[in-house]
Amino acid sequence: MRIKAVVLAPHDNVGIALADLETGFELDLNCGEHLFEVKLAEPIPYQHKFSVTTIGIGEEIIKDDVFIGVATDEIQAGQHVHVHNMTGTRSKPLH
Amino acid sequence: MEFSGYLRADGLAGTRNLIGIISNGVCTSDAANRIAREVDGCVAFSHRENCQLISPDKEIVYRTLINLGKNPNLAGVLVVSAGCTDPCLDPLVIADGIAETGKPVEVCSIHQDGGLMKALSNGIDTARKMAGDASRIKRETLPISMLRQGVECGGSTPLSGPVTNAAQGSALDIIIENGGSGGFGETPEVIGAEQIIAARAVNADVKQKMIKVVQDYEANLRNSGLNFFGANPDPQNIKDGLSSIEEKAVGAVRKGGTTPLMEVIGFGERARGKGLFFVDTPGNDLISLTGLAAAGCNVITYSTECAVPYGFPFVPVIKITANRDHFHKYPDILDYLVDIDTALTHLDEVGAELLVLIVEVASGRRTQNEIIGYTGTCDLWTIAPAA
Repeated sequence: MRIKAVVLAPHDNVGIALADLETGFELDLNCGEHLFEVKLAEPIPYQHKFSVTTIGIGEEIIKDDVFIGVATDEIQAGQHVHVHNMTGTRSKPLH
Repeated sequence: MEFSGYLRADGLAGTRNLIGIISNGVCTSDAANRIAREVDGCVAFSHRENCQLISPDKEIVYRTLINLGKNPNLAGVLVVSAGCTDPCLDPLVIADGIAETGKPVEVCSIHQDGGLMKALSNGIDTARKMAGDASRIKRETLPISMLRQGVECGGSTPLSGPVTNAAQGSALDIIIENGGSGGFGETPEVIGAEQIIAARAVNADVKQKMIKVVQDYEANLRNSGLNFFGANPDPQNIKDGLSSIEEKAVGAVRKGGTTPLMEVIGFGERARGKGLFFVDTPGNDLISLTGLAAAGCNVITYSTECAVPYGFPFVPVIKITANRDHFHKYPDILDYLVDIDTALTHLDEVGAELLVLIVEVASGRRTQNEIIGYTGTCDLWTIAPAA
C-alpha cells in the first residue's frame, strides 16, 4: 500500500499529497510523536499542500520545520494551501 | 569504499580521461567544437564571451576557464585562440594557469597558424597526439575520499526536496563522512533557506559569507526592478504545487545533505578542501553545472522531475527523478529512479543505493547523456550588462 500523504516534520501545519486525493478523503498521518487526523475539504492534486490545522490570516506556513510563507486568507484543516491563500515574503506575485 | 579512477599529477582523481578543447573567446568557439568533433576522447568547452569583457567579469571568465581546465577529469587541455592580443583573454595565461596541475597543455592560434583551416588542421593534429598519450593512462583503485560530488536540481516539484534532493544529499553525506567533498550552488534558489545552511557553517566567517551571497543576489534582483516571482518559482514549479521561493529553497538545500558547510566560493573558483562547499551561481542549471565543474567536481548528480535533457562536456551527470512515468518514458535522459515511499521512510537506504551508482559511474559506467553524447551545451557566468 503506497503512502497517500505525508507531514514532513512534527510542527508543520501543512501536509503533502502523494496522490490526487478527493474531497472527504480521511487521513491519519504520523510524524514523530504527533498524529494528524485530517478530512480533506477539497480535492488536493498530487504533490500539493493541504492544511492539517486552522491557519489564520498572517500566520506562518511551516513545512519541513521551515517557514515557507504566510497565509493571506483563513485556512481550515483539510483545505488546499497554495498561491491563492498563501504568499512568500521574499518574492511576491504581481497584482 | 573505493572506485576506479585516474590519479593526476596534482594528487586529484579523474573519473574521466578526456582532452579538453577550450576556446578563449567566442571567436574560437566553433573551432574548439570542430576540433573536438574530429578526435575521439576530446570534448570542447566553448562559450560566447569576447574581448569586451571588463572587470570583474574578465577575472571571473579567466578563473572559470583555468579552473575548468584544471578539473581532474581532463588529462590534458588544448586552448584555442584567435590570436589577438589584449583585450582578448590571453591564451597563454589560461594555459599557464591550467599547467600548474602538471597536466599537458597546448595552445593553437588561428592567426599565428596562418588562418582558420590551418589552425583547425594543427589543432586536430595536436588533439590527436594528446588523446593518444592520455589513452595510456590506466584507471587505478582509489578511495572515495577522492570523489567530489556536485549536486544539482532542476525542474523541481514539492517532492524534489524530501525525495530526490534528500537522496542526493544522503549520498553526499556518505562521501563526505568518508573524507570526500562536494557542493552545490544556485544562489537564488537558496533565498529563504540561507539560515538553514548558514547554521551549519564551520565558523563565523563562512556563515557570514553564506548569508551575504544570498542577500547580495536578492538585492540585485530587487534592484533590477523585475518581477522575480514567476521566474523562481517558475510557472511549472507553481503548477506542481510550489507556492513560494522559500518553499522551493527549503527543498533545494536538501541536496546539500547534513554535514557542516566548510567553504563558500565565488563562481569559477575551485573549492580548496574537504567537506561541503557552496558555490555562488545563478539559478540557470547549465551555468550552475559549469560552476560545479570549475569547483573541481569529478561527478555530478542532478535531480530533475521534468527530465532536463542536457549533461556536461567532461563531468558525468547522473540524472535522478522520483517521477516514475518520466523515468520509463525518457530512458535516454534519466539514470536513476528514487522510490518515494522508501526515500520518505528509509532515506539512508536510498542514499547508499545511489552511492553505488555514483561509484559505478565514477569508475567508468557511462551516464545516459554520455552514451548518446548529449553533453555539448555549456555556458559560463558574467555579471555586467553587455558593453
